[in-house]
Amino acid sequence: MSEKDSVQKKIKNRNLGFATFFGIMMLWPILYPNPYYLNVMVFTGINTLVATGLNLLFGYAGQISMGHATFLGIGAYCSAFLTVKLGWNPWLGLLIGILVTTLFSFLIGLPSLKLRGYYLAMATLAFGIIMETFFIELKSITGGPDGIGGIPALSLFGFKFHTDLRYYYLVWVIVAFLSLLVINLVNSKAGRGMRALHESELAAEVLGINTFRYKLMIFIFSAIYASIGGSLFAHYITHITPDSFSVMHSILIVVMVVIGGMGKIWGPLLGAGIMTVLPEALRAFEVYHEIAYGLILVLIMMYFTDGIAGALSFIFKKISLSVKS
Amino acid sequence: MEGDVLLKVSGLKKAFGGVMAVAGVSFNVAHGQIKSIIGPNGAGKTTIFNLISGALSPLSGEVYFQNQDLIGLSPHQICAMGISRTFQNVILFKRMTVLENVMVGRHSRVSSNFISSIVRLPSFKNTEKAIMDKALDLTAMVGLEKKAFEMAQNLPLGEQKLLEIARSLATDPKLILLDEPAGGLNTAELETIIRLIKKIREKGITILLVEHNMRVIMDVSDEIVVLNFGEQIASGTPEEIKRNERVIQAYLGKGVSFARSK
Repeated sequence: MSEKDSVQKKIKNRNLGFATFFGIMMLWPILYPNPYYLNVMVFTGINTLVATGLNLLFGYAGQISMGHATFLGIGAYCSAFLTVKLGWNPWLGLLIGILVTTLFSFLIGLPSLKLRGYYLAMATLAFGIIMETFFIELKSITGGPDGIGGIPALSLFGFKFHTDLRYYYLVWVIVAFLSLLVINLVNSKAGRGMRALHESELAAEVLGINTFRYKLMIFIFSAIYASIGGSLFAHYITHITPDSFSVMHSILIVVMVVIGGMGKIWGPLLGAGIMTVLPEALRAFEVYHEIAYGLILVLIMMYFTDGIAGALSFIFKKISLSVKS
Repeated sequence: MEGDVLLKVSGLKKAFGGVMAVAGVSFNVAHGQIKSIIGPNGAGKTTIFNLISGALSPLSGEVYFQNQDLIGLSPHQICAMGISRTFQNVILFKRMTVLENVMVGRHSRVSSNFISSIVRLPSFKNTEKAIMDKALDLTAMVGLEKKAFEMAQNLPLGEQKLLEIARSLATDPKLILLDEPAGGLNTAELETIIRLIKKIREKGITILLVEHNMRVIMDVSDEIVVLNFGEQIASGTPEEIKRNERVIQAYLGKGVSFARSK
């Protein structure tokens, strides 16, 4: 069966593509050790992680969350509070962040994932707004509008990740590892189940798939990715404030997923890349940079309906066809 | 045809707003039987399927499958018990391949969890292979093996209907509910569907069929239930139904009889 082989070849090509990409990412700082670029790339990595989680939920399973920055916040505040105020080990802080996020996403997912489409968007948006208020008002834990400062650096067996270069490697190794898990998940029974319920919940249900359980699991899974991103964010910038976890940031994450390409493996990476690098790159336009930024996003949405990942794969197909003929 | 009862529907009622879509329908489906539900448009046939498969819940009435009450169960639980269905308007996973569609149907019959897929435990590979093998078999059974890697949305309607049946069969049903499998098909495709329906029965799967095409109904049915405006107006063998006055009235109006029109 030659088509079956071609599918396997496709998977092999994609794995090769990923290996190449992450290989380049590992070499990048050696060739180009500019701290400013490393700094931008660290944020790109963290955003990629968060967008990767949301892409599973929104891109693959078709369930929107307009409150994902909240989970980023929960991870960040758990890390900050436990390390700064209680002096815990940062890795333990990250782990507690994951556990608290699991609990919150479970409790939020339970009622809201019964809703669909706009109603799910509204419910998660409301959750985001409520939690934003908590982040500001719960001063004893979050430090209020001033946030929490002096967050210690992460370290592993005495090796401290306190420079941009070291943090760059830490973040991108984690991104590579967690992306790999998502690729595995997507190319499995669970991944097919997700895409199936995206297309028709009714059809998936009558085929024996417990769609609600699936949605809840993916919601929690994607929230955990955001939480890890939040912890990494906190230990990198060392001072967190509530405005990093606002509803606006939730929307930004959704935009990353859509711009990058919903339900595409490369989508989150491209989306997070564009959304993080573009504002920096457009600084040359000075006061007009926000207009240019908005314009580019609108153009991408208008002409690349499958996001950048969709457009790129279309171009690659054209090239490989013209090479063959 | 006598036999032990697989599905027992009694006094089933469902209203949409003020309209009685199903007004007290009762019938049994025996093991290994092909039972058909016919009736003019709006008679409540598809609603009955939705009630049996758990997509809707009834106003009143009972549905028992192998002596187990189905009312209140969700569709995936009903599927787990061994009832599968197709849809009148064909609901495929359009942007997945033919093979993937069938594979999804197999999911409920294999156990594997999130964790084993994420970290690729050895059990994962075996599970995936088992799903794939069964899906390939079924794809071949309905004659779509050459299109296994095409997107479902690219198939013509006839093949989409075949694919939907293959996907249902992947759940290893004891009873399959086929909702207008012949709707919109040409003559050649019609023959294919009739052969497939008979083949499914030969595998020991009981069939409940909703269909408008009399050629199909009369060819494959063991027994027929006739509905009109949600009410059951007749039931019996194809021969009995053909001669039934009320059935002829429902379809053709008063003053015409089947014998005369022949």
